[in-house]
Amino acid sequence: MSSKHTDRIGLAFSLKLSLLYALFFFMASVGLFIVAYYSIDYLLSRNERDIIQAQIQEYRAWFEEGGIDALSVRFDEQSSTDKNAFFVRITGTHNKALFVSIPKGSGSFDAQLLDRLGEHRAGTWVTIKDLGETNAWTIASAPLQDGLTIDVGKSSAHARAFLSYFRTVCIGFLVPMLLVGIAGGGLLTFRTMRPLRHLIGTVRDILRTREMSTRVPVEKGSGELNELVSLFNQMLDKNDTLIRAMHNSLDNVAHDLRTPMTRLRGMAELALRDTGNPEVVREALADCLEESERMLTMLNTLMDVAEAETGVMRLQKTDLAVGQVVEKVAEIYGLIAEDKNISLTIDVHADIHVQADATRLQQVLANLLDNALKYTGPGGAVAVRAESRDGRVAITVSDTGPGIASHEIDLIWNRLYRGDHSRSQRGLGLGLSLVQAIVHAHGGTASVESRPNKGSTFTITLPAAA
Amino acid sequence: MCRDGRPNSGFWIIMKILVVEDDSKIASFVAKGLREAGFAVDVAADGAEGLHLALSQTYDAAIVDIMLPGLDGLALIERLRVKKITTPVIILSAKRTVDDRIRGLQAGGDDYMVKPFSFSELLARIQALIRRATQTAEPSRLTAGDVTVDLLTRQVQRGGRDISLQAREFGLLEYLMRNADRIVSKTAILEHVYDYSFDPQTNVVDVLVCRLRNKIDKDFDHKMIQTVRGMGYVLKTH
Repeated sequence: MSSKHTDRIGLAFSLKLSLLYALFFFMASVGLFIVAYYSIDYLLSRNERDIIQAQIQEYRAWFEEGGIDALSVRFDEQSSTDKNAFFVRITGTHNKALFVSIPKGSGSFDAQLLDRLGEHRAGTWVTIKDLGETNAWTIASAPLQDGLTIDVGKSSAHARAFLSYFRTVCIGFLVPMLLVGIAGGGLLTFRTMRPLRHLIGTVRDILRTREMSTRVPVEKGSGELNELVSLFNQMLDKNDTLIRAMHNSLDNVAHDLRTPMTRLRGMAELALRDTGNPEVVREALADCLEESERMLTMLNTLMDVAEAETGVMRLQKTDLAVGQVVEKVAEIYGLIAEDKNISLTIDVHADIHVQADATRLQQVLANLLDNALKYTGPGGAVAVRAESRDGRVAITVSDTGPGIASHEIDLIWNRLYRGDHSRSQRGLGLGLSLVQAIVHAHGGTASVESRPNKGSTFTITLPAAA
Repeated sequence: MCRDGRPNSGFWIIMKILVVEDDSKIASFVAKGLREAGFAVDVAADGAEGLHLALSQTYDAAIVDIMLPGLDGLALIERLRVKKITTPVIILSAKRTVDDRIRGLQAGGDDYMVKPFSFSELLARIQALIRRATQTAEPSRLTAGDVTVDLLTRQVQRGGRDISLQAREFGLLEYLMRNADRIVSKTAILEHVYDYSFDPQTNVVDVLVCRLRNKIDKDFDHKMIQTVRGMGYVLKTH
């Protein structure tokens, strides 16, 4: 149901987009035509008016030369030769026509129309649109001597015909234009929306199949939609990592809490059965407390490892002097080293700085030192060194313990792995996993070199402080 | 067992504590433990009831769970602070991140404890809060049984005999004496003596305690520093 819904939205969106595109295209064309049409119209009529003005000047000159008679003679000559000659009328007072010349072939032009218009003032313009024809007349008046008025008109049939042709051509163009607009809009939208369609398809697939490894096909080129697709894929990758890690840590937690829970349960049961001796009960309760403390530590450490591995852990990275951090941790472990008669050497130059979260780095070093001291026998030696090279800082913790067997060396970083030597030791089997996870979260590496019966050297590298 | 609430106040007044916690088992063991320690305790099972009690009565301290039905713990504390009620509050929460802690303290909480917590730790923190709220001058000399510690000259004596301690040993003794006759957990010792906020998964505290014992208890019949299995250590004055 939801997929149909998105289909409809997708279609409606594309359709709307292409129609909008076509509409804009069409409107722009129409606008262009209208502007062109009126510009031409304006230019033509201005041209006509100029001609009429010139004509008025000429007629006025004739009139001043010889009065209406001279004018009339000249007109007879002219109108017999020139088909496009002008309409001329001279009126006296009370709008009485003293002279009228109507050119031949002027269609249904009726001079009486002028009478109906009445006496219009000199210097004004009148346009008479002939009925039913693509003809029109533009008429101007000007004063003459003796209170007479001259009207001069010109047919704009040519201009009208030209404009009419232009109109027809335009309309003839607009229909295909509209079709091109719709087609172009459709094509453009279809092409532009392709990444979105892929995206919708992929999301639908993931929702349907719950297969998180599906990715949106990436196309060549840049643009916001392609970037969206690539970002979306990155987000899917991140989600995938998170979900995987969550599954893993849930499995681990479930599995590894069963053992201490079983111990807890066993102790409590035993204590309840043996009610005779309060001392036994007290012992069992104390055991329970210790066990629950261990479980809590395990839970917290597992959470830390999971957070660091999935990149959720919030690191407050600052510029840290490695020497100071090592000193602080060594202060705690110095007591233990002294207690076990192990020499603890620190050789870190004061100039060596890293970019790291202070508490987390302490945690890493504490775990490495704890590990080293745990497996080193009395009279042994543990050393912490650091060196800076090529923008990286390598911190090594080496011991003279029993070393790690070659078949175990890749397993020690695994969560809750406990080697042959470590089973007899107190610990959760999480220390090195946490070290690795935290160091990786800082963009560093963790590695170990070991020779059986000679000792192990753990090395972590971290980005040096800028 | 009635030893803590009253002597610390300096007066024979019973200190009153409000516990706002919706889990009845937790609420009852906290209330029971506090009563045994000499406090009077009121328990509210949700935020609204807690707010009503806190507004209608005066408490010396309150313990407030964050996740409560209805009005949550943070909102409850904020409302109290708006009404200018300055009762010290300890927040209980199942969330352990630094952000959660900061949010709790910003809302007006005075201390923050993550579940699961040890009761002795909770008791120690309540007493510390009440002490801070009532006591004014910091003593320059601590006495517990026949041990005296001068905080200024850092001299330690037991039964008139001088004992020389290293810095961390002195820190541990000072912390134990401030909490004399109370059980302190290993976590609390790490936090207060070493300023360590995570569990280094090591027996460093055992080692330190062992050293201090050798200096304080070795030549005396009464062994003051005692181990309470599963809980921590206690400095017994008698």
